[in-house]
Amino acid sequence: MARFLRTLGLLTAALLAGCSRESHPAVAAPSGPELTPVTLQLDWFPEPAHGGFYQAAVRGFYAEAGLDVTINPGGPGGRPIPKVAAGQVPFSMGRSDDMMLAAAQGLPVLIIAALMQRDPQALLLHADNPVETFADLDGREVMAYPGSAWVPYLKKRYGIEFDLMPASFGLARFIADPELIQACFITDEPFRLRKQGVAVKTLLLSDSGYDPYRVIVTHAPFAQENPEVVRAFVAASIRGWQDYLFGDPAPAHQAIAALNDHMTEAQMDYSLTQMREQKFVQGFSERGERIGHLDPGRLDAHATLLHELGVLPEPLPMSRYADLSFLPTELSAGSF
Amino acid sequence: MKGSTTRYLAPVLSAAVFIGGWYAIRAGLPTEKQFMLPWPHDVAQAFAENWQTLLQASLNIALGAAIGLCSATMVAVLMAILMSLSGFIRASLYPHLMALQMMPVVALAPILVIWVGPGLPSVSIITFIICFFPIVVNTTQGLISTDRKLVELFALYRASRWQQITRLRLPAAMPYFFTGLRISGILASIGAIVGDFSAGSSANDGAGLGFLVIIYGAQFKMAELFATVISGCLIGFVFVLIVHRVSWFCLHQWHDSYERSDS
Amino acid sequence: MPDPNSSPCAVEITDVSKQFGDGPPVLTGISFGTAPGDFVAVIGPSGCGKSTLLRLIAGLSPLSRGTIKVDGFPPGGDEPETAFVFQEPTLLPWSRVAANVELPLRLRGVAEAKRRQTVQICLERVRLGDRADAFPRQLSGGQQMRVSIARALALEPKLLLLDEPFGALDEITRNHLNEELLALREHTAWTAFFVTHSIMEAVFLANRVLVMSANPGRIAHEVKVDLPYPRTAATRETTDFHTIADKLSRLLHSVEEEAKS
Repeated sequence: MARFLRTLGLLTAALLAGCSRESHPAVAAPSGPELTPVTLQLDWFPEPAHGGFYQAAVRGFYAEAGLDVTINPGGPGGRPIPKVAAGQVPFSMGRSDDMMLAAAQGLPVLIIAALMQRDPQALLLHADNPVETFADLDGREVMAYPGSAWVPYLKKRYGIEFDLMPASFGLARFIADPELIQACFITDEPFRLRKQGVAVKTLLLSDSGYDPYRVIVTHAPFAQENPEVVRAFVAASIRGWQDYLFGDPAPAHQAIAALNDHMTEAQMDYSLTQMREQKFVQGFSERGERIGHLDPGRLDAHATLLHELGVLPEPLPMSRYADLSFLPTELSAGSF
Repeated sequence: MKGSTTRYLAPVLSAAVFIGGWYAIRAGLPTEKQFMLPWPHDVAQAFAENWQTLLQASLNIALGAAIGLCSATMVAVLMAILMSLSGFIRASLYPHLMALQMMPVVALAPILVIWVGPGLPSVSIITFIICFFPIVVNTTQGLISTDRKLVELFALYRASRWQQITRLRLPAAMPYFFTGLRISGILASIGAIVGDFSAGSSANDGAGLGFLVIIYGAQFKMAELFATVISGCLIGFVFVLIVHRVSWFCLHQWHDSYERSDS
Repeated sequence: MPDPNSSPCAVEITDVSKQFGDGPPVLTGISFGTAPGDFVAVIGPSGCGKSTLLRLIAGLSPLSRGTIKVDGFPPGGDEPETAFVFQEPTLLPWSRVAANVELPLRLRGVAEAKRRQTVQICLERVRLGDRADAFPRQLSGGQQMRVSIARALALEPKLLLLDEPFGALDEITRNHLNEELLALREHTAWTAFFVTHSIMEAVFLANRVLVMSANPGRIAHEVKVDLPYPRTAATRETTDFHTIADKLSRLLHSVEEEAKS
């Protein structure tokens, strides 16, 4: 009976996971001529916020690490985390707080490296909007993805109340409504709006003190079975980002422009400049931050904060949602 | 007596088998897949912990669905009367009604939000659009397929056009109308939830089940998602029940689709 | 011109032809006149245009040629009150029996008190006074037909057109209804055209029987039925009845043979 149940469960799992299940390579072969095929699921259409991955792919960093990386573009409603959790793709990206929530609900996802030391997510407002600070949001309505943990944080930190409506993933409503406040990527929407002659201002969410990482994640069982593949992927990705930010970004930009018609040269230059100047990816070296680096103390503090906000039902130990052992030695060592 | 025992016992039994199967499947899931399917008692607990949120969201959906369905019914019947008057009017309007039905709600939602604002106005209009078509098509069909003999009878008695519509065509179209209404009754709550999903708002406690789906989805709360889905089913069930009840009230005495209950 | 409200009316049919579109003629050269109060039965093989003739008299279908006058008026306009009884009861299924009988009165805007009175009288005449609140589907086929007749009589018509009204009923029910129909004439006199397949029914009801032939439809013979009114069930047992029925049977047979050759 128990065996029957187990078979039934496996069958259901296979059904739930769908047919596009990625075949997990049993052996990693970083040195041989055979490349290990793996897939990276993006969280949006290809854009400079994915520049390092494209740079690594085009410049052959992944191949040198023994990997044949397929980059899947995302889009609205793409929901990359459930895909990773179901084992359909081994690698994706997201915010560290979302990964904690996912892990707390039993999703087998694991943070393996930082993608950005700070999240470029911001609130977008018309330049003449009287809202100047987070505290001014009291009584307003914000278009954002409901369920994001920064919402209860802002409410509690500033003692304010505001309402939400679901994001429409476009700027038409924003242009039409001078009162509208919506979530954006500071590296993207402000440029597009200014180009259309719309004067805007932004409030960077991390300035409120709510400061998650953007991270690279993997499917936990995949990492357990293929630690070398994960290590190679992290190292080559970091190399790609290093090269993209401080070398010639043209290879990545050509690849992105070929895949995303909306990405003009000017738009990509703007995004890249923003990332460089605001140090989203590399962080502040004086704080010990570097590309890919994860600070266990900061992760722990964030998990505690989420628990205090009531978003996490229990204090979550780091082993449940992150594994820093796949970082290059100089990064993981530097953190202790 | 035997009939009523079967009637009440059978669904209870099938529900027990279903829940038993659910437990069996969950018990057989390997560890890394367990997040996909919560235990049934986890879902029950999600209900217990979030019942106020779920109830408020359900009521909001029910309100949007009711406004959408009622206004769709009224406009659809008027439109059907108009279309029954001439083949020319039918030919001119029908393709546009089809287009209305084909309109993808997800594409429409952002436009509606700009026009009328998020929340109840958008949700009601989306429900209206989804519910409108089945009623207008079926009612028009009913209005133009009235028994020819009865039409001649009215002609013999020199009934006016208005008398023909009110005393003959509308009552004769009632079974057709209710066929459409039953379809729309099923669609109403689905439409409201989809509308709320893409054009809802949490302002004035107006968030509905679609909004909750986004929130729970973002937080990966599977048990709460299941509870939300079940709440949606319950609302749909209530709507279908009401429509069937009204349909029974209007038709059971004379229409063949209902068994003779009085002799 | 006779007053249309005082007595049964005369129907004058002159050289009437009917064809639908470019099709073959359905009726040709029909000429026939009735005296007020005539009960005319029309029999003939199927396809001879009996029902079409009835619809022409009712004004439900336009003539291709010729004229029809009902007390001097063309049908479908200001002619004296005409009622039509279809093959099926043709009742409003959503209306109770009383409301069905009341329908013609409502459509004419008759005052409510008068309506209620008339409905009660008409229902009692067809022996359905106790079923006023029933819905049509709760009645038997024969009862439904009686409601249909009660409705036809509600406006006190001068001309009654019946298109095989009892064709779908069993013979016993049909005989009963035949007797009742004649009994109704005791209350109000009307001129009647009665299309039927049944020779017995035609002889029992009518004082004149038209035998029609097909392809194209025309009047082949006319037979007078001299049996005295009131007729009862016993009338069917008389020798005269059977003599006339036999004669009609032969005529009908010859008309059918003619159509085949």
